[in-house]
Amino acid sequence: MARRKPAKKTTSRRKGKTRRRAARGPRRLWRAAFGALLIGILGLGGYVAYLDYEIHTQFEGKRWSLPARVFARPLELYPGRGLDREQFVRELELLHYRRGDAIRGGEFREQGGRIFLSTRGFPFADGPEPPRRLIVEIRGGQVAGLTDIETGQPATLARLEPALIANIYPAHGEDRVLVRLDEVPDTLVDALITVEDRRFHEHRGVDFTAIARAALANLRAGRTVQGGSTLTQQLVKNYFLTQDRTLRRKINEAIMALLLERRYSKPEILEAYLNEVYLGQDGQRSIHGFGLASQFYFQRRLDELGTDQLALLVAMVRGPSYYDPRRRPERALTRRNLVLDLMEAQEGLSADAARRARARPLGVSARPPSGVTPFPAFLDLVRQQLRRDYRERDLQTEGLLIFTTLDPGIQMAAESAVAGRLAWIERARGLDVGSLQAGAVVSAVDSGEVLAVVGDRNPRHAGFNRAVNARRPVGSLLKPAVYLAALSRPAEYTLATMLDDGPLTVRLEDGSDWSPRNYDREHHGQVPALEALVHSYNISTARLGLSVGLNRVIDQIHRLGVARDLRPYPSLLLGAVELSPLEMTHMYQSLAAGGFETPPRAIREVMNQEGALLQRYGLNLRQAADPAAVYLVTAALHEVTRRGTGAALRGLLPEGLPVAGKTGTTGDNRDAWFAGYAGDYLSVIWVGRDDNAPMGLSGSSGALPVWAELMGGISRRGLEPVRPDGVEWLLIDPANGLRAVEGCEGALWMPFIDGSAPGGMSPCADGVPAAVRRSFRWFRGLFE
Amino acid sequence: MHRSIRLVAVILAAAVLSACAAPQATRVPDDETARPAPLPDPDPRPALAREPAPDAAPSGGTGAVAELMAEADRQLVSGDADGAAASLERALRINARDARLWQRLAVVRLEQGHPVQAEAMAARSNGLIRGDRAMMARNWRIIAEARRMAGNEAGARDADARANALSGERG
Repeated sequence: MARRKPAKKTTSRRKGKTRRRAARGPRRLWRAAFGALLIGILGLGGYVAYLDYEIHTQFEGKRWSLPARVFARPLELYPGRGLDREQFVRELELLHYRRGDAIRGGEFREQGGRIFLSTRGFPFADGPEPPRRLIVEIRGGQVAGLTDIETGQPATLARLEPALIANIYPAHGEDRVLVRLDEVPDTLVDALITVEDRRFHEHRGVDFTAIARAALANLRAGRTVQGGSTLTQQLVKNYFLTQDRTLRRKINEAIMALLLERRYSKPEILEAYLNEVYLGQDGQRSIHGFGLASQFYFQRRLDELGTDQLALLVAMVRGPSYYDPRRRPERALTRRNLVLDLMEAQEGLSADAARRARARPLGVSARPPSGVTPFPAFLDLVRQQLRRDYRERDLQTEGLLIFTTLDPGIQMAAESAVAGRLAWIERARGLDVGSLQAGAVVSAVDSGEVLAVVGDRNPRHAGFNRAVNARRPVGSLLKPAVYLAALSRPAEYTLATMLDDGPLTVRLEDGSDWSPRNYDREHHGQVPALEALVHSYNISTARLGLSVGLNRVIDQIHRLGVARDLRPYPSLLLGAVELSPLEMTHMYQSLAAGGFETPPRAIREVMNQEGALLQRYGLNLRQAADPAAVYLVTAALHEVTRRGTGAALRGLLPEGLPVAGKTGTTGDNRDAWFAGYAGDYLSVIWVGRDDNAPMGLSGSSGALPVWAELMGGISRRGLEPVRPDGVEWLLIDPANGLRAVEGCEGALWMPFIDGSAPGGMSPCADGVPAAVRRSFRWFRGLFE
Repeated sequence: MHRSIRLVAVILAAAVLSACAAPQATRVPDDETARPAPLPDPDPRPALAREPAPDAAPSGGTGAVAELMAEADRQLVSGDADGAAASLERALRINARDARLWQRLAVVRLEQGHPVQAEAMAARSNGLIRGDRAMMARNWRIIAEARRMAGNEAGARDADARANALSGERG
């Protein structure tokens, strides 16, 4: 509008000049009149040309700004995939599949142990997944069979559409889901033309008969009861102009409608209309186009709607607020049925079908699907990673399609583990209800893909994100890096290296003394390194770290993926450094993946709105440590969960699910951590209070129960690292770190890197006769 | 006589075993205190120390992985390295312990001109192989190639030597 003003001013000024000249004589008057006419025509022509230009550029260029769409990972289906029925049905419901005969896309039915479904297909970045009809047989917690119904043949691999989990909007704005004309059901187009613009295919933008008819009707009624606007005019009005009802706007509208029709075909105009029309409001988000309206009112794709539902959408064109089917169901129903009547009268609908459609309820979902993401903490991470490569404005307007790694099932399991266990701990410990908070991250061990993020015990709350943005002292969670730095030098350190856990005082550079204490305030004498880590002894660990060298330990922590600057203070060895659960996930990821560092990734691909791949965030690996040393650390962390600070897991995890993990507790019990991994997933949990007050919980009592609940629910594969070549398991006497034999009391199995095993035999071996040792092996053989 | 000695030895061993491994499990429950039965101590040998059966059931998705691997091979041959990488990563999400997938991804990374990545992937593949020397040799050849591409000629020769040793011993 603002840009149009100068043009108009120029025109009126010129008119003024010609009027003054007109007074000088008849010839001059004629000339002036002719000139004025010419200028008027030129002016009008210029104005029309300007409007034409505006229409052209808007229509040809990018017509709409579209928010970025963020998707969860698609569910892959293949025989052998771990999946139970409830999990599968939940996934289908998340995708708004409905129960039906499974013939049309987006339907499924259960029959015995089998689920029949008809997928919708999806244009993935790595190639389109066609719509398919499948039988999925689920038995024993996995996909036992997958059959393509069309061919009757077994299928090896299929994937569902990814669930939309978020839109990235500007603060205020229009939202729409673009549809192509050929995707729109004919019924909708026919009904729209019948109701809104019967002569759409005949007129050239403006329908003078309709205007005359409307004017007559309005005159008779004494008020506006009918509109004579064509679909083209309505489009122009929505598209280019404001909503005010001035004559000038009416004239502009008519000119632009005529221009639009001259330049563009009917189908092009119709498609633009279908995407432009305003159909509702959701807070500050306005709902435009039939594609989004279909999702907003029915949670279905447009091509999945029935006649009655399409008629309702057409009915709402006249006044989305006045005929709002959720707030004004009677009005909406009456108008919908009027539309159905008109469709029947125009013979677009048989009498029978019209009667059936009229009898149906409105069928709108009770609540509109929220434009607000249900997973704000995960989206935080996505946006953080997107911000490295995209401008915020582009995210809000370019209609980018963002494919993330979120696993909705695991996300929900993590949310409920956090909420459920925190409430349980508060009850059991007599803590104030709601005093505890938590952050949690779950990732896939091998790929580093982040599958779930919980940033608040109320996961829908889009506030402070404790998983991504909260930095807290990590305590003993850092210890595995100290041991890894040591064990990477097998000539100097092994898990059997005896460490002194007696009192220690270190003189610091500033002259002060640092004297670490153990959690239990005890000293444990000489202990093998394995035991110092298993029981998380501070003093012996500090000694180990100091003997390895602070800089070597810092270097190791950095190579494991922690990017932050670390100062070489001895207290660093005991985790006196503030890091986020996400940063800890990165570090443990490198351990879980056998020493290969992979940055946690939340995004797989970004496509533009036309479906072209813009960017792939591929799997990147960097060797961060010697795999054999990492194997030793994992073995020790497995022992932590069997008989160390994580032994409480034994009663909480399913039988036969070996895991590796580490507790972390900071001064006065302000922070409780647990980080650990099975064969498939890795998870890091932080529990604490927002005011940083002591809560009386350790890593074992505060964070471990959450971790156990979560991992017990999702993990299907226990720890099973491949033993690197040259690593051997031996029995060691923990009293002296020397070789033991079966039969030595208290002897422990420990892995050693090639050639690093202690040479000496523990005296305990002397007490066990060779015959007993042999028989022992024979006896054990009975059970193996 | 000999037999009875052996029997005694077995019983002794059993006693030692129970003392060493599962003292709580063998304790007679005290009825008066009626405490809940203590959890049996775990196997003295950690799960990691127990060798998995060599013919352990492969994880699911064998067919799916094969299909994606074939697709990746087609893509790589037709010059679509990015597509091949996407297919292989999809397969890795199904079974990340398949050393062949990491090896192929290493080749793709070479093709894409990422030698450091290629070397890491090949090393990852090697870490998953049990016994297949030919495949390990192939990984070392990829590593040699990657090091050469990165200008590390000495490292490349070292990798080649390892590859030769593996192939030679096999022959």
